[in-house]
Amino acid sequence: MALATTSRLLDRAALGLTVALALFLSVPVVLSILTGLMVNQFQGFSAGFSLRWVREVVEQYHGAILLSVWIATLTVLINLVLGTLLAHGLRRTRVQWARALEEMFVMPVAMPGISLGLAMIVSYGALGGFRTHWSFILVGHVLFTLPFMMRAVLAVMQAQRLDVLEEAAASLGAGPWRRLVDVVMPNCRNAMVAGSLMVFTLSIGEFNMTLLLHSPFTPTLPVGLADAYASLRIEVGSAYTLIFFVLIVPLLVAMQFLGGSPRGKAL
Amino acid sequence: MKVAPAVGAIRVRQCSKHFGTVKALGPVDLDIPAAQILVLLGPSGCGKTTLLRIIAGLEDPDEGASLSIDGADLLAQAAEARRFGMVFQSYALFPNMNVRQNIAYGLKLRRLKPQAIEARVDAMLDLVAMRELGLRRIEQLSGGQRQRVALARALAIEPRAVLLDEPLSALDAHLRERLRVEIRALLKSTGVTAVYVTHDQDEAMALGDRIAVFNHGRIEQIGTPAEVYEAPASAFVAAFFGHVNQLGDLCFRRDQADVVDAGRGDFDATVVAATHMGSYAAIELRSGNGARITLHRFPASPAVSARVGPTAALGAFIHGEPGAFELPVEPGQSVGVRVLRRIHFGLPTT
Repeated sequence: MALATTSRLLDRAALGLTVALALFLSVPVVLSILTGLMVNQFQGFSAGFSLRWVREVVEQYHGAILLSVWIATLTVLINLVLGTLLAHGLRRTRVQWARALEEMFVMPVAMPGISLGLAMIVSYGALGGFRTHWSFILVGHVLFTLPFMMRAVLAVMQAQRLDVLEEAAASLGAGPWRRLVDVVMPNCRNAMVAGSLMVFTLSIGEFNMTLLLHSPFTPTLPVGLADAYASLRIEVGSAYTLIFFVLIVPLLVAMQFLGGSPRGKAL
Repeated sequence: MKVAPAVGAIRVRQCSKHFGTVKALGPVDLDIPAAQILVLLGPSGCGKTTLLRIIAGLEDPDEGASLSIDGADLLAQAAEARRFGMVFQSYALFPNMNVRQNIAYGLKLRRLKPQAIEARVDAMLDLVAMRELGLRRIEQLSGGQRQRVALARALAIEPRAVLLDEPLSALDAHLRERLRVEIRALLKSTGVTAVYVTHDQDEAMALGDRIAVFNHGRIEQIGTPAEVYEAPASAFVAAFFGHVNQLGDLCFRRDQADVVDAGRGDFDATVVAATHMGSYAAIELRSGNGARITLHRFPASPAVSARVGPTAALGAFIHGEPGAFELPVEPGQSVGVRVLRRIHFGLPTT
């Protein structure tokens, strides 16, 4: 009885703490959103709400926003092909250095984005028009996000008995390519979707590296956001943040939903 | 229903396999006649699964091996070209497909017409008595049902042989006993050559036309269930099919000897314990030179009692009531042991 009471008290304390933390974290978010919709941040709510700042952001920065969506989409597509194939290859190989190779692919994550961006510029900056083309940013984003996709897929691949499934498929007459398409990929589908959402989110919000990689011709959404906050009214920056939320929040929710559904887990 | 004509004679010669420096399979020669069920039996790590995987094409043997089916070389072919149906311990059904899709998969790869595939899948579902469950997802099936689907999937492609790797080991004992009878009947009705790996000697006896007993990567003996039981080629084989009493050169199984009056048997011994074990009585004895002997006495075994003659001093072993029997010996008592059937190792076997 006493034990039950204590544990109920503990449960309540934990719940209270969680609510307090959630509030603490969401207040700046909510304020930022509201600010983007206010007529005048200095005057506060009394001045009323308007979509004027949102419109202004769209007019001034639609190029940057579209470029970010474009790059994030391509990053996801490239990751789906490269990440899945890499994970498939790493899973199947029996050689000793496979583990080391797996670690090597994680290195870009361990490096600060700025260092990675600098490394990109030093290595490939002089390569003709590459430096000023949006594909320069794309390469950086793929480099940075590939480990996330590969790891997500590899983890699910390893959790399932894909080896035996592939052997069964082989005995039924499936060659390596058919096994990949019919057996391996369908059973990693949820990991691939979850990985894609994560990669899209990472790419569209990437700032550290992109700050160095972008050129005046290729600003991305977060770079434009920093620019807006630094040089324009606070309401414009906040409205910009609002647009960013609209793009990203549905993806985060989808990610959460996928992770929680039973089909999202490894068998 | 015949799914395959009597083809599928597999021939294995000089087949060995090392994993790094570890020898998993020793050079092995083996002939599997068409339409026969050969069981590869042995303790874990004895090489039986390695041999099966080599036949399947999932492992390559060391240099110098040869492997053929009906005279055609197999080693040059990849696993997917060999047309061997496989059944795995973990079922290995595709979780992204339902029962019908699993069975149809091998047929689709063969580019059969859709109607032909449907008809074949129906026939296979009937064969394993799962017609109503065709649209179920794999995760909705019990272990026994999964293994039936796996068998149907393997047989659907009209394989040249079926290779089964411990297919019943993941199931409970009761289901195992029932399924091994079903599987044998199924394999026999389709007339397909089968290689069946197990570590369970009861399963081997129930399923195999012949049994190859493996030990340390080598085949100790190949023979029918009766041959390996009654004429084991080595002490290892004898012990694998039930306990063996050994007294110098005299070897015999626990149920192949009986207690008689002292001085009237093959040797004398002292009773250590006599225990009622339910369906049989266990009598522990110690011989004159200290060897431990265990006898199992079944009440309703007329063949045995007829051969043991009257034992006046000990009284009748078998009581009138079926299933009930007295323990006629007391610990400390001196008795004779008459051996009814000896085991001779190394007899030439077929």
